[in-house]
Amino acid sequence: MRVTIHRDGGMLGRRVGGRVDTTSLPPGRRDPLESALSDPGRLRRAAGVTPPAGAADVPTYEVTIPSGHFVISALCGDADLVAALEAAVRETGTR
Amino acid sequence: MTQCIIPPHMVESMKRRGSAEQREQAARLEAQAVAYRAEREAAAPPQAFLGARPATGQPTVTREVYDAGSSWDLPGRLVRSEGDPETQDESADAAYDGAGLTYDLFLQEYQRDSLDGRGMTLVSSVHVGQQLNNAFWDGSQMAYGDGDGELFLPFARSLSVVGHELTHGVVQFSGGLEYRDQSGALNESCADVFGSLVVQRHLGQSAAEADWLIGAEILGPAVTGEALRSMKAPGTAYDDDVLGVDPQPFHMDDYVITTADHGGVHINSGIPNHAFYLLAMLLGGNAWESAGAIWYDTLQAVRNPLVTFADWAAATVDQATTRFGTGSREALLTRRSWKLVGVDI
Repeated sequence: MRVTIHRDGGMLGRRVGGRVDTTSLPPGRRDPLESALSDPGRLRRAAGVTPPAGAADVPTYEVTIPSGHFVISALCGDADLVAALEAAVRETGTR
Repeated sequence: MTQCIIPPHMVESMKRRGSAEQREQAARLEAQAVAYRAEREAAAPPQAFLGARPATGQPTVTREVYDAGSSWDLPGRLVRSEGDPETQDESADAAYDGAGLTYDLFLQEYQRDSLDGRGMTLVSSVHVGQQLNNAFWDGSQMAYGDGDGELFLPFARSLSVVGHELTHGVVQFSGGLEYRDQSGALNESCADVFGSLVVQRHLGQSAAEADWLIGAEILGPAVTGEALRSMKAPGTAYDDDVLGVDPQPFHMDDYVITTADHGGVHINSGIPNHAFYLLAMLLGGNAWESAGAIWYDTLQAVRNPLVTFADWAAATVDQATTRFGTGSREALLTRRSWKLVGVDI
């Protein structure tokens, strides 16, 4: 599965990320990513959640998978998905 | 909406120097902003627009620190409540101590009882996410990552970072500054200003003695730089192969127009940050006293969540005049500080 992912904002205000081909990862790192990112419905639900008014320095993830493009806040309420998105950013080799 | 992309100072320029069509467009943008502002104020939570309500009685701080255990499930497991002994977890104890020092600044200098002015419990979570290079305010609590150990160290260990995140709560409960473009940069700047003041007051440093750095303690061993941001010299905090060059401007001539980072809220905050630094240096003495009071009064007085740099600057002069008198040194130097960063009032 090919994923393009970027993280924007956060306390540093930096945009980092790039492309990940999950097929090149060992199973221990591949499976959680594919499990989280292969469900467009889950991504769509997460993308529909707006951070509370007043929240600040919260990262936003921009994810492109073959079935769509999603912008997801770290405060989307799906903690496992956010952990997977962070892991995907790390897999791009950027920090 | 269009005002996400075109900053207010550009709309003003379009009005002044644009063609007839551009002036019409500017008028439409302004009308949209007014409508949006009305919508925001109508939707504001009941606790918004508190204004400066002096604390009464004998307010005391209430803190709770949680361990998120490298997850994003907040707040996590409670590890320290108010009055509990140290945990031996450096991040948890630093978050606890930093919350107390920030509470003290706002109570003792500005008579504000906690973030909401009503004694709100200060909730912090540490060890959020895996090797997370970030800290944030989620609208009700602070969250601190551990950093990856190379670029960044645990974020709660920096008192200026703790003060920064808590101040986002103060901003929120003072009526809020919309988190994008110039109002977002002012939100970020207020967080840096009071984050730095927490450190200066704790160390007993005058404006001239302070380093005016944000996050100096959390840059990792692999980074060439001294902090996340410098209020004294925006644009010089780091110059690193991985992080790049600190992008902050200190003057309106270098204002960055971008759609990233909510319209560059962490970038253009360098301009009001530097204006505050200049005011504190021109006034001399302790920055949390006159300069900090002017900024705090302004935060309580401004009723526009989409305030521009120019509107905010004018409000600081108004507040300096209210507090110190017409023609006072404080009012004159406030105006001068803004002029030095290219914001004319």
